[in-house]
Amino acid sequence: MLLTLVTFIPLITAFVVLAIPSEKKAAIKWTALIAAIVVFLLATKLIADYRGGGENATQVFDRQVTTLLEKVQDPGRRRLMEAGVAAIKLDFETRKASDERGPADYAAAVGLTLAENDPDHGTWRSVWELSMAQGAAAAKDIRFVEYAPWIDSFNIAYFMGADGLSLPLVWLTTLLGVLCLAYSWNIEKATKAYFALFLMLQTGIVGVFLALDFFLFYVFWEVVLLPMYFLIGFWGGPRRIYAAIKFFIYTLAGSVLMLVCMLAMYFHAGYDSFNVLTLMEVARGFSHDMQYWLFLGMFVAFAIKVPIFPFHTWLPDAHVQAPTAASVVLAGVLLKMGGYGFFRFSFPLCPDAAAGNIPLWGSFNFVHFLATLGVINIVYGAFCALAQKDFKSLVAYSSVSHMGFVMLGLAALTDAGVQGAALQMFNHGLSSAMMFLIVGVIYDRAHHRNLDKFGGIGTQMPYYTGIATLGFFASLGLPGLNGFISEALVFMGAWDSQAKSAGYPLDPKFVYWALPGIVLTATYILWTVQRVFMGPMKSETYKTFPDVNFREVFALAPLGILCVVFGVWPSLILDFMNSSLSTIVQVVAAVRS
Amino acid sequence: METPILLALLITALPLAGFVIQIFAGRFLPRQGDWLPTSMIGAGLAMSLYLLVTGVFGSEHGMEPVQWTMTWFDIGATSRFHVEFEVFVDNMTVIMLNVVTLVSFLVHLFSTGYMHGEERYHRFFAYLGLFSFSMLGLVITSSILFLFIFWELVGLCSYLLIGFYFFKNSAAAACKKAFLTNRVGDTGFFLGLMILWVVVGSFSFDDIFKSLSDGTWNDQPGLLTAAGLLLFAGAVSKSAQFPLHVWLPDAMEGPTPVSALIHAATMVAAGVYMICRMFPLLAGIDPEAGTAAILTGNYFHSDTLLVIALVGGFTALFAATIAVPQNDIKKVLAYSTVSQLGYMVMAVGVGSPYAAMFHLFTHAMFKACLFLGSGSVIHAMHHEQDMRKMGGLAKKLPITHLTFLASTLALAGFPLTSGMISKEAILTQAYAFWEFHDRSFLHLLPFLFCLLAAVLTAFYMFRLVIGVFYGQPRDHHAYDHAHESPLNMTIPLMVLAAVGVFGAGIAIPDIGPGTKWFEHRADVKVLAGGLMTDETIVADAATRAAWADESHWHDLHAEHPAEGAQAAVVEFSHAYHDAHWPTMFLATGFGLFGIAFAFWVFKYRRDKVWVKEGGFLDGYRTVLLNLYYVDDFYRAVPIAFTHFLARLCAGIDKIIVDGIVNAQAVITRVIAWVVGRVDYHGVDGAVRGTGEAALELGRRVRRIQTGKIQDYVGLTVYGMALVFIVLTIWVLN
Repeated sequence: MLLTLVTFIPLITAFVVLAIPSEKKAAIKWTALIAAIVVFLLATKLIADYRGGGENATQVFDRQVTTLLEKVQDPGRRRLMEAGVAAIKLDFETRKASDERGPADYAAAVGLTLAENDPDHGTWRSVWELSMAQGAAAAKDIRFVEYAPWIDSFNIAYFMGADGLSLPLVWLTTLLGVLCLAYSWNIEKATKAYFALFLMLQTGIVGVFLALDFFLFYVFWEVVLLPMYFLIGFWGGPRRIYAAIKFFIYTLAGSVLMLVCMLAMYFHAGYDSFNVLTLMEVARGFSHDMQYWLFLGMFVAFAIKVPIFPFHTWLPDAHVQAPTAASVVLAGVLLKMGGYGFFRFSFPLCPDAAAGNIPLWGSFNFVHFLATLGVINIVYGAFCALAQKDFKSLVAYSSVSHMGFVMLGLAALTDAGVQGAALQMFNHGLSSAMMFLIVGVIYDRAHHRNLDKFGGIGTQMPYYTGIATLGFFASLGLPGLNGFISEALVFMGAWDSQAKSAGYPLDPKFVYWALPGIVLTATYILWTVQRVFMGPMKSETYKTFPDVNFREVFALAPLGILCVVFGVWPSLILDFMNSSLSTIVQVVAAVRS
Repeated sequence: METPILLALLITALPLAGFVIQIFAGRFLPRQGDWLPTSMIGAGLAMSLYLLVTGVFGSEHGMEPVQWTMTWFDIGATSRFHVEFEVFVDNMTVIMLNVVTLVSFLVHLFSTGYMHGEERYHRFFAYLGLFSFSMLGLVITSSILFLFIFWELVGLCSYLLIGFYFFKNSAAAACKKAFLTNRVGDTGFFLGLMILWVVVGSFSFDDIFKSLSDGTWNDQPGLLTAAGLLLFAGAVSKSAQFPLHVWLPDAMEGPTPVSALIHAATMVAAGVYMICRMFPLLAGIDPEAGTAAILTGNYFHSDTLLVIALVGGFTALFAATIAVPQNDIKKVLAYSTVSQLGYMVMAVGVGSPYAAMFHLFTHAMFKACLFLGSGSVIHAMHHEQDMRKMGGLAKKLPITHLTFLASTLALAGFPLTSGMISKEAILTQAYAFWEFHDRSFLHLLPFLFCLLAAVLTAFYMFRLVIGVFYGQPRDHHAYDHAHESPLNMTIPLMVLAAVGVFGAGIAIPDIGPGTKWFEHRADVKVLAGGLMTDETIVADAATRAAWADESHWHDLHAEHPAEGAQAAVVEFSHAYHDAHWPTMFLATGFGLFGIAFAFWVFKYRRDKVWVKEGGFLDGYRTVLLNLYYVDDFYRAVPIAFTHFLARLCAGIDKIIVDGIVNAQAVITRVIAWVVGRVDYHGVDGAVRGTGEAALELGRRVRRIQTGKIQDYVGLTVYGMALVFIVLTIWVLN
């Protein structure tokens, strides 16, 4: 229930907001903010309760079986069914004990027979799905499972669950939701629509992170597009229409490929199932050819979102044109949907491709492919950032650069690399959100973002400068702040990948090539700090700028504090993610040849 | 938790607390809270002194090393990535704690006078607190990862403090330059760290040193050399060695107390400290003897060390030459610092971390005193830094003058000052290094460089002293208004001068609290942690011999007569012994000559032009004033190239990558337009055509609807006949 609440409270609130008359702006804002705070608190509760909290797939399975059996009146049929259930359970136990996690044909057969002979087909089907799902390695860490049949005829279910990978991202989304709504307090243009769209957006993003049914995931994925399209297209900068359409069509083009992959798996797996956990169990049986195309198709969909070179050009346009709060959500969590897709779908569903068993062309396999693009992202993004004159587009390119670490860490396929990648997503969510807010603050005052025209802000706005410096250094990867640990882990993981003992496939040359990125990052960040905050004041008008107000501090300070907290105490989040991510690494590593 | 660990943690944490309070609440406290970080670091000093007296001087070989660890984070099912925060207290730690807290405390005290009335006064003290915390953290940890973390943090503090006057363009540029130059070296450091982790699987000093003797590196000796050189790259940037020295002179944009604390005494010495700590690793491998080298004590064949010695020696001379024609009082001191750091680095390179640490200690004291003294002068001259506008200040600033002179004598290596003793230790080692290598020319270079640098050091320092304190005042207005600084500024000067001149005294046999206290307590045995046990003690005898007197060596020799190190040790011991007296006379003689020469040129022949205009020396002077064009080279080549690449990437991104996307959109629209036309004229045209055809047909067919019955009957008959014929033909076929 908790997951449903966290996901859908924003959507319901959006409708409530729409019902409020447009003139009552205060009511609209407060309703939205309070809802966001409630959701944030619920998400925090999820985090706190994660260990042992909620139900896992097995518990939901048991509960559903009990209720189903109670409904059966005919004693003979009931005995038959009990025997069937016992068979499913036995099969599952055997598989668990023997650690052989292949497709459970026997359980499948029994389950399907049960399902077909009962009028309550949909529910039985869900029992079967759950029994399959239990078998997946990833299932052991997934808690707060919610399962209900949705579209019976295609076996589509409302299947939600959270693990160490998704929960931090959900928490980050709800946190940014609160901060962004508070930061948007000064939105005067069509306030009602703005706040309603923002809340809908949040439902979409949280849904993406929690959905465990591929179809449901796809629906949430598409739901995210529309609100963001309108937020950019209506409240954005001068080229907002261009940026919004580009963002929409680009992402849509990618998700069409994802749809194709999804359907291919649905039909190819032989179980007519969208259940991600079931698919994880089945996918390892897929041929290399099949995985090759599946991986490539999903890669394009997720790569556009991350974004990975050369699919990144929608990002600078969308970021620069979007209103500040939308940029924050874009950079903070929307990009992570792509990264999350790699963790949750690409890697476990195409393990052979992810492990480097399938050559892309010649001896160049998918691991090299991801690592190469990751390195290009890091270095090329940093070079592009260095050349920008527009403050916001510099920050946008810095996102391109930072997301490269996620790809490099994933490609490494070591515990350190994959955890570094996941942590980098979270950390980038904090620091990039902070950077966009910082740009927003100065843009609200100066009404321009030209780096060459700034200068000397530091004397006029000391508190702003202090917070901004913190944010910039977090982004730069200064030890003691969060970014350092994830970048270091990615590098260590990528390098360790070639350690003889591990026998992993990644060449250390990727590390050498990515290292200049560290220096370049420092270069563009410090140069920006110098141009904006230091030196003599370049314009008399800057003398009239007030320092940060309460609204801005409210949005910035929590992020700054978290940057320090996770920098000093990374185990807070690393311990949380450890088990879930190790499982992904093991699943993929198990098929490595 | 043992007391030393507890104290070390407390010493480190107090300034952090000071920073946190100061940055948030400093401006609301009385005196803007300057007393808070000052008292924090004062308490740290007291605790450090306690550790020094009870621990280091408590017994002949100092204190027993103690260690404490705490898990930082764990990763992976197998916990391959297990990272711990490690604190380690041994003699060297305690000595460094004392150096840092002493200089830091005195600089805090000095700043209460020097920075009085400045804007953002409270923030200055907050930054000092943060720096003290980071520097102390760097000293107490025994994990190379945490050393790196604190290493970067001191870099941050350096950045913040150099940029304290950030509204000045020069300061803004200088702090950026400092951070970025360091970032270049730190990238190397980080890479070295990764090699260590991948090969050793741990960041702990202990594990790293153990790996040297258990064969971990046997099949990849190249990686060990690479790791050593990469770690050294970090030291090159942090300790401002050629070619990454360019940031340090610019760093003088920071307030003068900062220059004293960070850019002379402590932070820049962190690089030296690091390579001293890592010495066993750097010395690691003899390419012929394999990993056994570390245990035979045969350090002197390490390629890494030779590179270090050459870089350090070259920097010492290189920077000393640049210091000669400088007129900015702080610039002279800055280049002098670069040069002296070169000495220390070279000392490590020629195999004597002890001498490096010793010089680090003495240099920290007298150089901090010189910087604070220059601050006192600048303060008195109302922020004038050009020595051409000074002169004759000895009368006006007696305390500053005396302390400055004393420290200069120490720096110039005047007999019996600490500077002379520590410098002599380095030169002797360098000489022995040459002897040991069959007098190869390459191995002579470090020694030669440093000997020449010794002359120059004495020369430019006395040029400075004469220019500032002696002769006639050149700016009478400023001279008339000059006055001695208040006590809170002069007390630090006196303390530092006293320790700077006599501090090494306790290293002279039979004087001070412990005979050869430094030598007995900061040797390789300590540096290598648990690696050097009593069983392997003979192993480091070669280096031990470098500072032990002969009898001491013989004791060791007698204990372990059959050890394999014998030949090398004996040979080195002889080389060292032979070198001792000649180098002492050479070094002292060269120093005295430099002093005399400075007096002759600047005092006696003051008004004479001694450089012929347009001559060779004049041309060389131009080169020196342009700092050998190193900065110009950086601007013209790497920096310009980076900006070129940045513009290139941005251009590619805009024109090609995004161009393809936009072209795609245009093509789609063109296709859509064409399809639209085709649809309108073709497909829809067909539909409309069909309709029109039907209408036309109707119009024509209408004519047969005449309304006459006979026409209809006739048509019907004809029609049926036609049908009948067709059917007949079809059936017949």
